[in-house]
Amino acid sequence: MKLSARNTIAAKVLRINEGAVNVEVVMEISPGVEIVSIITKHAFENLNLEVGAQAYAVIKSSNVMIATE
Amino acid sequence: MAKKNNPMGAAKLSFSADIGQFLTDNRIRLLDAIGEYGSLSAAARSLPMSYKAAWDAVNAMNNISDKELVIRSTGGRNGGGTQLTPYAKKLINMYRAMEVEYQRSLERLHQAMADSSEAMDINDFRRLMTRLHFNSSARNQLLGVVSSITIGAVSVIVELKVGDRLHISAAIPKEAAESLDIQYGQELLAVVNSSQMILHANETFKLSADNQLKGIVRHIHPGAVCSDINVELSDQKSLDITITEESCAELGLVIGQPIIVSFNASSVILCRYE
Repeated sequence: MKLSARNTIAAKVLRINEGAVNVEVVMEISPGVEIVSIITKHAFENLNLEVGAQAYAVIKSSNVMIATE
Repeated sequence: MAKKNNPMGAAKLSFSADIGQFLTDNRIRLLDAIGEYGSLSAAARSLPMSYKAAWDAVNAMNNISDKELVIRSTGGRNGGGTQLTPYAKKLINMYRAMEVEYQRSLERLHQAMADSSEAMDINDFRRLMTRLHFNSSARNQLLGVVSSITIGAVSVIVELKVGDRLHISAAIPKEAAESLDIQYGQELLAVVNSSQMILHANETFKLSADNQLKGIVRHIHPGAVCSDINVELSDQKSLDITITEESCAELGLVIGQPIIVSFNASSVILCRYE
């Protein structure tokens, strides 16, 4: 998969929460580490996503915020 | 008439020069020069303006115009040329006529202001008017017509027809859709930041991005960390995408290569102008 996005993280679909227009997809990267994605319903249907499916979380590096304590 | 005996006249002269500079829009001058030289590089040199700035200005103008303004032909022994469309020629003539009328009315206004007790600096007024014009740091602005509206509980998906074969999907909050009073057939400006887009070369995998536009790499401007990629879409529209240098190398991007530009509907900002 050749993509300009620098972060392509393999994950498993954990939960799906469907709205009228948007769908929230919670994915598990490793046990206890989750990542949440909001995509449109149209995109969701296109990808045939279901709980347990393997997918990738794709995040462009300029969209990753950094926090320190 | 000697100027020293006519302070009002002197003021008018300097103010006229200011207004003149403001109106002599670089982009109109660039169009004019393209018409004269038939080549973008010669037009840019004549202004003078860098070739990149001229290239960017032409792309921006084609993106927000509902008819093509500039046609670029590639290839040929001289590397192709750049021509104005009849629509662009009409635009320049109309702009010049407006410029004359604008100058005349400002002169009348200046005269009236000088007579009133509530004197207002005409240059303050001009600066304010300039600021009121829509201005944005976003590189990509495309003009389109609303072709479909899908209303959800919180979000509204608006599809814009940007060209004959080009559509852009925008997801905006329902409140924003109401305040913009979005309707079918309405003309809107779609604004997308260049850092919100990703590039990929093949279609073998499925991506959730709502906008996946096919294009051709036209320019690569490498930087220390990031590269700026200009991609020509259909209908003479184009987008600028910022990706990291490393991604650029990994994708092996070369000029002329087919590419897909992807971005989420939620990355698109819609603007209505009065």
